[in-house]
Amino acid sequence: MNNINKLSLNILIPSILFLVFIFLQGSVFFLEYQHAQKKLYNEKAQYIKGIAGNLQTTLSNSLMRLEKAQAQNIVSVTALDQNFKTIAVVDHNQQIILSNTLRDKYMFAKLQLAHYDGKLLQQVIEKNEFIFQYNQLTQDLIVYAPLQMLSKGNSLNRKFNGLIFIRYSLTSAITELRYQALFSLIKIAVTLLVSLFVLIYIINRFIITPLIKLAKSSKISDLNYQIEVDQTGMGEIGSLQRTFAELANTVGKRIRALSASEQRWLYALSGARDGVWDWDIEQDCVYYSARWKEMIGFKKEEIEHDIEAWESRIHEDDLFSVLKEWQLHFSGKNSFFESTHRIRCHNGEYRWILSRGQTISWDIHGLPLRVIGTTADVSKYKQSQQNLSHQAQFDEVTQLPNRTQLLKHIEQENARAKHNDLHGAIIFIECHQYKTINDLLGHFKGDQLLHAVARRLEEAKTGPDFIAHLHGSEFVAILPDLHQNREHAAEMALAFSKKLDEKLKLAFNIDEEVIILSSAFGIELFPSQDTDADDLLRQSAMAMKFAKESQFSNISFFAKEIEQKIRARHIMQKQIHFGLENDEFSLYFQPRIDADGQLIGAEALSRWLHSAQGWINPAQFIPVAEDSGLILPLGDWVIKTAFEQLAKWQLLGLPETFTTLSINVSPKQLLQIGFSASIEHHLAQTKVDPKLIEIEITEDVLLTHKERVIDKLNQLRALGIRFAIDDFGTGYSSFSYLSVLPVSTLKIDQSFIANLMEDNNQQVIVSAIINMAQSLQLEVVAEGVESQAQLDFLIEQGCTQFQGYLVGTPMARQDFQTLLFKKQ
Amino acid sequence: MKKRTVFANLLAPLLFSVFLLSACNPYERPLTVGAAPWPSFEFLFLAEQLGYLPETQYSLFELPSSTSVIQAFQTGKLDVAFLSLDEVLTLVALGINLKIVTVIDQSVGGDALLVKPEIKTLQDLKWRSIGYENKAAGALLLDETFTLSGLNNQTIQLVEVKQSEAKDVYMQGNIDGLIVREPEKQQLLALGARELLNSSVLQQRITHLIVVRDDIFVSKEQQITHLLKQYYQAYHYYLSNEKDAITTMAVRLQVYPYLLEASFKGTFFIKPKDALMRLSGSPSNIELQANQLSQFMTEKNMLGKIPNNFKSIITTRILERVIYE
Repeated sequence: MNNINKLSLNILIPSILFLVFIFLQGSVFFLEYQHAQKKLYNEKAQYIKGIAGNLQTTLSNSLMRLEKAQAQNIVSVTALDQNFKTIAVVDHNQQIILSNTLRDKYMFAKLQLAHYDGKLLQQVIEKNEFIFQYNQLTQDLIVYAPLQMLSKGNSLNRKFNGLIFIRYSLTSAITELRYQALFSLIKIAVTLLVSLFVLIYIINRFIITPLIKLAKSSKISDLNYQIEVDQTGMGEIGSLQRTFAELANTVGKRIRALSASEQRWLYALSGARDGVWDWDIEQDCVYYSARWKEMIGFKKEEIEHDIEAWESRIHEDDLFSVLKEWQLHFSGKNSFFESTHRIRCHNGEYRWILSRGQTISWDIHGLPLRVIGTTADVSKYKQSQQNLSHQAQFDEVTQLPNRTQLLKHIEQENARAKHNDLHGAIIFIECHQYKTINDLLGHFKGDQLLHAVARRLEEAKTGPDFIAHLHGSEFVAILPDLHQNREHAAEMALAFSKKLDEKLKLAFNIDEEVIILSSAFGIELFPSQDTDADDLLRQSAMAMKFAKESQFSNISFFAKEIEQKIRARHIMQKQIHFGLENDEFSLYFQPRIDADGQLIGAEALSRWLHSAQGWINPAQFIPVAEDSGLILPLGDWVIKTAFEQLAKWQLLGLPETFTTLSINVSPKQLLQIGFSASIEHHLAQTKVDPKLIEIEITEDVLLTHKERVIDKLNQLRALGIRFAIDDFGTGYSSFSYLSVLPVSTLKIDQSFIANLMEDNNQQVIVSAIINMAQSLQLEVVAEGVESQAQLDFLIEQGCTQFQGYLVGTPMARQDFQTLLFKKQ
Repeated sequence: MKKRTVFANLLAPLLFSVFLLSACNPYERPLTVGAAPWPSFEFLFLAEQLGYLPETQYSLFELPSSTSVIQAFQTGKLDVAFLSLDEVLTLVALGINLKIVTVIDQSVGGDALLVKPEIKTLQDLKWRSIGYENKAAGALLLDETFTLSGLNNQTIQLVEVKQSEAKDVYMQGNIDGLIVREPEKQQLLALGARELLNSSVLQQRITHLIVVRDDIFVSKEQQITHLLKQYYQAYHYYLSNEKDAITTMAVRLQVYPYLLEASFKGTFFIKPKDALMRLSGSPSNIELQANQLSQFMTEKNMLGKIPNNFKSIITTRILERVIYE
């Protein structure tokens, strides 16, 4: 279709005319030719019939008068037409009497005359019939006309009659007709061609050329100048030219006005130093103005023409917000796109730009097609804005966050701590001497000192710790996520405070002045119910004031019970240490019996007789020992002492029924690297039978260090030492470990036994444990058996070994020894 | 400007071709040629019989008498006619434009006055009847008869008898004398007729010619030339294959070959080069002869209007081409 449209009218119109003419003329020619042929045939047929009729009369006359020469003459003259191939008179004997070809005379007609049908002779003579034929093939008209030749005695005897045979050829006539027709066709075609050429010339001269000129003048792209349009065309072309000239001038005026307006905008934009961008979304083609590029340090050609060129340069922290702005704009929520973000410049630095734009065209589905906007460099505004914001949030002197930010932070951390179930601490710090120094050395030095203090505080902080400056020499440190345990968290806060105290005690050099500071620390733990950030801060301040006034310590907790607990723990740790050194610890042995009541073993238990406080409950000192690491020397002491005791008893002759000395080992102790070695060492030292030793471990240790524990147990098991799981059923038991652990005994926790007779569920659980142990071929020891009923039940269920006050309370070494050897 | 010349270059040949096309008719009718029986003319039909003349180009009409030929030529049915000089003059006097293209022969006894055997002299013809063909050369012989016998059309009954009718008329016996030409002369002689006078005695020799219609002379020159060439070709065939040629010609003329052979004795064939001699020169031999004959015929009231310039009706162009091409 396009190709046809591009064809020149010069060709198109004549071609169409030519084709139409050829078709019409061809049809007319064909019909006329057909008609002419028919007409020719009719004419000639009529003509020949006339000739034949004429000959019938004239020849008959001549022949009857016996004027044969006259007859021949008639025939010859009649044949003076080249189309007469034959004119012959044939008598009843088929003999040619007369012929236009003399040579044929007196010959046998059937042989001599071409296309002569002798059979017709009889028919013609007898019936006096005139036969007219047309031979389509040879294009001959053939006539057989009866001829009366002789009259004998006036008789009409047909015997003497003959016929006239005429063969008239239409070939030349038809050929001529054809030639004429063809010739006239050629004449018409040539006339047509000439006419077409004339037409082409006229079209060219009066239509095409003016149109081309018009098209050329309409191509003028610079419409700033007056357009000269040739207006010499005729008729409609002239009117078109005039209209176009008018149009061109109007458009020119408008365009000049438009360009003036465009210039105004350009000047306005360049004056504003704003960059312009125009994003064709469908084509992903963006026009970036020179200023846009210049803003980020690029020259004209150095930036691609797609949105990627922009997007890839956006600071990664801003990318999300920029994309969100786009999304808000495209979804129609914001009628304008507006985003302030950083963009990477040519030199790799980032610059703040403010970009604003608006979608100006949409497709039918409402999707944006084109967005145009401007970009302004707002780095300076952004910088000053940041400064302002920094000033609002940070202290100018120390460059630390100020009170506002601190409160916000406390709020956040408090909420977070509640959620995470972790305890944190707020430490309020004040340096005593600051006010004096400030007064003596001036504000400037005071500020320098504060700055130095701030740096030291910052040095001490780790990870999520937060340090802020309030005013004067007041600082606050926030230590989030310290520990799940409130007391532990308190310990850690205390440790941190001590660390800060150490740091602040070091001398400060301010302009060659050496300044020594002392500080007070107030600690408040969070989260704390029903307290907000202000409360927490105030409480920590109160704690600091308390510390300031205290004679004992410069660190104080707002929660006094915590402080006391911590203090007690510290004292306890010292006393354990002291106790170990002064042999205040001793071993007690709790007997274990079998179902027959026979003493089969004992559990070694540590007991502490404090020199001042008397007996101290293991539940008090064991957790402290574990937390402080004192469990290691204590545990070692237990093992060593137990082994030594057992060795002595062995020497005294240990009864055969006594098979087990059970020793508790804490997880920390078990996981200690040298644990196996120390066991081996003690075994070697005391030479006790390892088969008599049973080490009790808790299930908890298996939770975290399963592989290491299994290795270790296997190592000791190889020496002959057995293992029991203490407090079975209370930990996070997974029965699967029972098959992999080299344990031989389960000790049912006394909590199951205590209410055994009252609680049916306990009975079921205990039965299940016993059954399971039997299935796994493990010994079961029931702890805390206090009544005969419990004992009976357990025996009934198949439990084999028992411990508890019913069996015997933990006894001093001497008492137990007596019991052990009594029966002997 | 350049476009304009291109247009001119294209238009001019186009217009010219239109002109050419309207000027000529592409369909060529065959050349129509007619002759009455006469020995020398027979070479025309011999040529046809020998296949020298293609049917599409030449249409030969076998006419029974000179009168028929004259009439046919006069009415435009013939382009080329074989005639005697007096017959040609008759046509010219009638205002027919023609051209003499060649001279074929002279009658040296081929035309004769034949009478019934009982008539011994010319004088015997007084109060008797003579048959002759008015428009043909026979008129010259009749005139000679009158001159020699002193008889005139008052003392002799004249009857128009065409060449083809002569035999029938003689056999019917109603006419005493007949002016005939070959080959009828031989036929009548064979029937016992007596020859009293023949063309050899005539002062005005009967010369036979080939004439062409003036209007087709230029356009069909090539065809005419070819016709003449073939005509002379047939003559050469006759010379070299006389018996065969005679037999062939005799069939058409419906005479015995020996009679036809005898007929040829009454003619003197003029070969092409001699014919050219007769046509060439100023005035040419034929021109002089035509002048004389026309004068003579005018005197005898045989011609109405005397043609004044015979030069224009003679052309040697065809004959030159026949001889030299």
